[in-house]
Amino acid sequence: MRRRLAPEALVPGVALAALIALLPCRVLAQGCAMCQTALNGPSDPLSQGINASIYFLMSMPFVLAGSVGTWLVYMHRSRSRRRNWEELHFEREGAR
Amino acid sequence: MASVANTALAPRLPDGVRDIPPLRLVERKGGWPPGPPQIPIADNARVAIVMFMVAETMFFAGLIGAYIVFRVSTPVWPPSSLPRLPIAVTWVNTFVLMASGWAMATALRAVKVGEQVRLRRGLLATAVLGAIFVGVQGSEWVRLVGHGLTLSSGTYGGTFYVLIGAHAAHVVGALLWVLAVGVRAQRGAYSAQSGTGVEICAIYWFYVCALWLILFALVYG
Repeated sequence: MRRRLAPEALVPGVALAALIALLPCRVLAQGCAMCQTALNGPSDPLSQGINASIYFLMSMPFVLAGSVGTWLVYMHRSRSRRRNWEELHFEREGAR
Repeated sequence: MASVANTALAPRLPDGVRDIPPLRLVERKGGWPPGPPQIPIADNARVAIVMFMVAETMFFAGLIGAYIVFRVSTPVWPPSSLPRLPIAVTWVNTFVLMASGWAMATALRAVKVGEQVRLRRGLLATAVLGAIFVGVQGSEWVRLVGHGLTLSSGTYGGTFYVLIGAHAAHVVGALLWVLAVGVRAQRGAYSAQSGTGVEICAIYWFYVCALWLILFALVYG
């Protein structure tokens, strides 16, 4: 028989993960070899263009996932209300 | 008479719930614990069209990303040596495409209440307006090529034709879909209980219309 893990047992692991995630550490910001050779620093217009494009492309998966998630939640809530109404309707018909 | 009495006793729909067709129950096969039949929160067709649109959105996001790189990094946009885009005609064409979206919405409302004549008229109007949009776009392209703006006219010409051309190709694809749905509607294939074919076609048409608004603001703005 499998033993269920008590929620309290997870506390040290979660605390350790949070500690590691929040530890400040200094790292060098670095781009890929392509960007380093093709771009001439942050004031280069091409750098600004690539930056803007990266921000745009980076946001798209979040926008799409958020939109699809919102749609699914809306459909779920809508169907739940509909199902509750149908159950109530059938119960009243059955009572007659 | 009994059914009339039962209908009168039926509770009213709560706020926010539309009178949608009855739910289709799906038998639970081998599930545990055994319970009542599962109700899918969305039809397979709707999920499929949403996933398709997500993929399409990422495709266009890539093209728009490339456009942003070139536009932001170029000091003078559009380049002074190249012809300007026809703004006025494209504004009118945008209204034509939005009108086609309205016609599709009319067809969608018609199929939900089972009005066959209004459904066919709505689909026909959508197809005609969509064809006008594609035709005007094509004629403007011919004029632009005549004035010297071609696919090889630097990043400006390249991004313009690829971005707007990709959208035009999608409008043509959606137009063929609308025509196919129209032919099926002519044969009486859709009703208030089975209108999913019209619904997913309408969803894609609305998507193409909304996408055009973004591209129009981005490229012509």
